[in-house]
Amino acid sequence: MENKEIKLELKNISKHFKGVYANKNVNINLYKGEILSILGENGSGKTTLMNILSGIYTPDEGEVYINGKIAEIHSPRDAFEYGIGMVHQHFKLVDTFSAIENIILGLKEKVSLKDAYDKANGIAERYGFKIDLKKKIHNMSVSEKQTVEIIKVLYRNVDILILDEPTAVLTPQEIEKLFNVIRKMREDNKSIIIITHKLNEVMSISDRVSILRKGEYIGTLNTNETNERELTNYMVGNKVDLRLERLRQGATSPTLEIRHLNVKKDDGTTAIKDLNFFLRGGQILGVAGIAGCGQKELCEAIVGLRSYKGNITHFGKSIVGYSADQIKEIGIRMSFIPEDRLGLGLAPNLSIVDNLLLKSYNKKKGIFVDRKSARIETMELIKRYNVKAESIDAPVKNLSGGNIQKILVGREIGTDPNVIITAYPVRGLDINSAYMIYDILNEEKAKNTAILFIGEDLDVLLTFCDKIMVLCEGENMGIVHTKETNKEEIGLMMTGARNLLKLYPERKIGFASDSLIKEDEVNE
Amino acid sequence: MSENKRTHTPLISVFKREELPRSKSIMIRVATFVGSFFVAMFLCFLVIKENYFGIIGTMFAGAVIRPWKLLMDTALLLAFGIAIVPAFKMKFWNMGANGQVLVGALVSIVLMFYLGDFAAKSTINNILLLLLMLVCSIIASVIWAVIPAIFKVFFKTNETLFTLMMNYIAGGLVAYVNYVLAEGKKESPGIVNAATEAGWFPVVVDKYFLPIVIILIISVLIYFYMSKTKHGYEISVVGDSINTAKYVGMKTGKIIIRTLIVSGIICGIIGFLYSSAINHSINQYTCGSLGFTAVLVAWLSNFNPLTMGGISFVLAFLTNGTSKVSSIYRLGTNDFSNVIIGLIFFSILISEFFIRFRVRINKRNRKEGVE
Repeated sequence: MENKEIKLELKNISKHFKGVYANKNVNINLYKGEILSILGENGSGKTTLMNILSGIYTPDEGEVYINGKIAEIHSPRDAFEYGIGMVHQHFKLVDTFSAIENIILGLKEKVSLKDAYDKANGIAERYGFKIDLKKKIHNMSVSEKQTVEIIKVLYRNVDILILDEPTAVLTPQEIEKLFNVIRKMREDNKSIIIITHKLNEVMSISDRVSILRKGEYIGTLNTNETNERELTNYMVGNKVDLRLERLRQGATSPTLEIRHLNVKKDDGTTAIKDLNFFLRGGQILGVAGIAGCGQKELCEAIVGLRSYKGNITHFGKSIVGYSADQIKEIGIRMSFIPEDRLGLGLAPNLSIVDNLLLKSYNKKKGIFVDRKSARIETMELIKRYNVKAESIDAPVKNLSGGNIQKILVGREIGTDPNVIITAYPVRGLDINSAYMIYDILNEEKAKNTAILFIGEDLDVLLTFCDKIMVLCEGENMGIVHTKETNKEEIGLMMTGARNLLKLYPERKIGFASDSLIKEDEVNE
Repeated sequence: MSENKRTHTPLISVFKREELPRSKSIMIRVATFVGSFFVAMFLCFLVIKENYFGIIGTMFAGAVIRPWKLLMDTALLLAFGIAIVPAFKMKFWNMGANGQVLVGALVSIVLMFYLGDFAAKSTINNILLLLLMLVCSIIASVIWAVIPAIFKVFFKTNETLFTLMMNYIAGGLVAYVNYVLAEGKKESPGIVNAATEAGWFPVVVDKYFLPIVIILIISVLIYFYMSKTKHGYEISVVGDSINTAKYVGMKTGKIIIRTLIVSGIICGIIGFLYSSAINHSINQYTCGSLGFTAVLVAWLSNFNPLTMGGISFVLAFLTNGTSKVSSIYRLGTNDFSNVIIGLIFFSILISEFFIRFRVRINKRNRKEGVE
């Protein structure tokens, strides 16, 4: 490796958002003609780093060198001019355009469609893509769309290609094809960066692998000198001491039982595949998994916002086909913090009072909304949870993330639920707000509420939850007691390298021994 | 490829502003209005080449010389605004207020035409006719408003285009029915029941007095409907975050359709007033473009009915004043007043942009070309 020429050099790159470091002192070299994997958990800063390279963000500190010269990348166009092209995880294509139209879209110089077509076809042939460039994007499969994205980047003569989780949407056969293409590019002396969290892929495709953890650069290894176990350790790090308590609490019989749940994503692909698990009152079941492996769809299915196949029972009674308000009625509550934080559960432009009213406005009779008592309740909630708000009539979107979260969680818990579904409840919160949320959840646990806690920080999951279910691509990889497991095992399960369901099929993982479901119902 | 090129900093950057204090933003709006008014008047002066202040005087005199008409124009604009506000607040872009009012007015005209003789017999008969007209107009307008809502809810059609197209259907329907009523001899039967005044709304103080009062009452009711009732609350939640609305168990489809029924009811009442109290006749252009102007009024006033009243008044004032100016100084058609009003509102819209955004012009930092 040493005799290879350095193509790209990242020196001391730091980037922070509102005081939280997404990248801290990252130093990575990329050689000519090599494939480098960037490995890390969610929120480890992989995508931020690549966005810096592709001109979407500018770093707060540090420099990027290309061919030994300092490079200033302020826009994706700048990135292209430096020969850097990125294929995003979520494709950025115009659906109603053909492949070739998408490829030339945004080019500065004028080209005839015919010339462009010939050039793009040449690229496709050279790397062994099989694609009809005149086909419209909306008629294409996911893998074809990805091909278009890659050709689009190659068309711009890039020699540094960044692929953000390119295999997440592909079948194993398609992945093999893609890898062959990538290897051909390497032969062509192009440098390729692959962002991924799948260890087996890291091992099979890349020459070297750089590891990020919580925004920090951990190190770079030659792939042929390491193994999956070592990489996992680097990726998840050592156990951190958290001031978190796992409350001792006797669990009740199953509150919510989920059998053979299948849920689809918006684009029709599988989100959750044949999932079995159950929740007990007084117990917190954590859910670990890479982002986007079905957590959102799982939550939405349980609270009645997304259709599904399978069976969900609440105290032994099937709630299949219940609408969102019927589910609410029986005591299942969700506090779901989607990536945009305000998308679900709150109305961002309405006042705090109106947002608290969402759950209760219809309880009282009559045609008018009772804002008077809602104001009193709001004042109480603000006091109890120490919410910092200028005015309770101000739009809720003006509050900080932590305060928004307190309002949402406070409201959900105020209605005395028996099941709480919570996803990333502390995402983006400062330490104190986060602990307040954990305390609230523990209080609920003490009241024998069943809690599903979808998390991203393994340390938190391991210290806070009673059990952890690990999802990988929407499939259950097993449910483990937090006392009997460790980060390494969870990490391997998250990446699909360890599947307890396959290892111990006799254990019937996810089925409660004291199930309240009568077997004949299930067979129906 | 090329190694080190100059990087691109955009020449102009636009940022979203922190919210300005209320008083300041109102000041900016008023100042823009007054400023653009005098500039517009100066343009008049350049065309007319007579005393500048004389022109302004004519403008004011023209606006207030028929106070009831001025108030009626204001009220009508306000009424259209009130009719679209519930839907707009829900982000249902109802562009079809014109058509919804037209079908309501048409139904009233048809009833007046055929039941005029019956109503002329006694006062009670006349009252019965008026009630029938009111109810049937409301039903017709509700149907017109609800059709796009149903398609939106069940088939996810685009409501903007749908409601817009319904305007043209309503216009065509009016032309056809007029032709039928006039037995093919004329384009329309003209003023209906001119002799008997059957189906005409009673006149108190002035022909326009009662319609204005009715519109004011509706406006107040809608204000309370929007701000105090559960329905109004649901509308604002659906408009702000439809996923949240679904999650808390609101039946969003039902809310959308119900809200368009409310819009339809208001349009039906306006249509009824057009036929029975204001025009006693109908043609395709009865509503002018009030349904569209009202969109501007509603937006500018941030859906606040009180502000809507104020802006409606300003618009009605300008329309009446400028049309007087154009007739006194023989400027010909209404185009002149459209130019003036267009100019003033264009300025106001630009000021809205600057109230919401900050614009920075970036100095080109000259990067040394590295090569």
